[in-house]
Amino acid sequence: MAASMISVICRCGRNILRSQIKRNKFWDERALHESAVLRATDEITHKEEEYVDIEVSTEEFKYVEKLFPSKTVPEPPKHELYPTPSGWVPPAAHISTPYAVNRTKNHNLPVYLEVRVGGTRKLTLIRKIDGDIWALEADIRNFLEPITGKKCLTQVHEVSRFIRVRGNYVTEVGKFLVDKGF
Amino acid sequence: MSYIAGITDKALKLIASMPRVALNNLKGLPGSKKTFQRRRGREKGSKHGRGDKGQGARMTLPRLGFEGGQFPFYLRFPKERYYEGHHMKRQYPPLSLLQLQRMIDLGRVNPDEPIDLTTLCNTKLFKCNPEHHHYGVNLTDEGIDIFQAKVNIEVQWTTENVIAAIEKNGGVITSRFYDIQSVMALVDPEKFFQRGIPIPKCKLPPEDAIQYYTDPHFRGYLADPEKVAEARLELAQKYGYEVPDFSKDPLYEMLKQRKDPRQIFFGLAPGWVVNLKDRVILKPKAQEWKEYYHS
Repeated sequence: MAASMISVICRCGRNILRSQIKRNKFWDERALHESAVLRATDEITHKEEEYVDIEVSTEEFKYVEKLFPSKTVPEPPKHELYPTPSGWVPPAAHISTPYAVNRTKNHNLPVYLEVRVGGTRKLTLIRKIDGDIWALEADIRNFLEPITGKKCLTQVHEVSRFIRVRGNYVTEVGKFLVDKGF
Repeated sequence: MSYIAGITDKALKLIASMPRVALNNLKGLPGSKKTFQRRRGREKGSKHGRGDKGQGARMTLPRLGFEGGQFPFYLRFPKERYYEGHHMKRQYPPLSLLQLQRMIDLGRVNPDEPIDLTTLCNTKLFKCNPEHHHYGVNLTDEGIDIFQAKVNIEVQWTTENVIAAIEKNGGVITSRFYDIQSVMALVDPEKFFQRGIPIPKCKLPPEDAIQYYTDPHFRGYLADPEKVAEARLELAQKYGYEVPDFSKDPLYEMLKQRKDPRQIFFGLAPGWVVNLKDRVILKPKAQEWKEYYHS
């Protein structure tokens, strides 16, 4: 009991001492002023040491400009022969169908493969359709049914302007659209 | 027609007078947000929907993976050695020759200038994220038969048949290693220059990659140039094509461009600081700095 009391007293005493030291330091204006001056001179000498001798040059800035990406997607260059080596064909200038399928911003066809239910359900998605969407759906169905020999099941979304076809027919549908001039 | 126009005018006026749809007046559909409330009352609230007594009621369920004192599944079977450090392994996201040819066809990549990781990332069609341990590009052989471009390309990983496809067209390929700090600078140079720090000195490849990057068969950047020339001939004989003479090529100046093993950007040396605001480059003059950044 006595030992614990002594330790408590000791602890209190130490705290009081500490607070007094703090107070003394805080209120001793002369010491404070001196330390501030010291700090300021320290900073000046430190800064002077930090500066390194450098050479300023504008000649090589052209190499820096080459590293920046273009802000927009460029127009594709004109080729002598189509399709290009990678199989790309530009859209035709005039089309005669009541519908249109627009290219994406990267100048490709908006035909995608959707894989669902752990890879067992595959769907072909055709986006960016303008005009008579039902005429396009009928044309795709008439094109795919003889090729596949199966009934072509489709979903037509009139508001979001897309068609889904059951099964993976991305290459077939892509070829169909290219032949139509999209 | 005028009748319809009147209606549209009225509708437009109505919309103009209505408050604008903004973040402060948006609201979810009724019933879309479901909050769980502790059940109350004599009928449903006696156990508050938590069953009768036990761990479920007192929220003292055992931790995940605990099998009631049995030696648990995740500790029972030993680790496979080849998975060791799998989360730290270097990754090389793939880019096929078909994709590269399509980029060139659509004007996204200029084949008249040397192609490196920055050129590919600037197309925004190829993505490399150093935070996922992506150390650069792996050029794969898909579309190897249609590839026709003549390029000077720098890749981080590739195979023999891809090298043959590029050299057959009179192009040049180099396997080049970049450490992760350099990859960070390469994938987005604008962001890197905005940081205002000196261009880093590229580190040499780690121990397990030195063999690949010094191998002339993979056109390693640390391989002996004479041995690389020999390997070019050897590969041409293997695949049955003729190696064109570079010195007579009109694009000779472009095709012979290579980076220094310590350099990461064409035309810019390590140690330089790029000031984007004043459009100037600051080069250190002190001997100590020069010695540090020298290769």
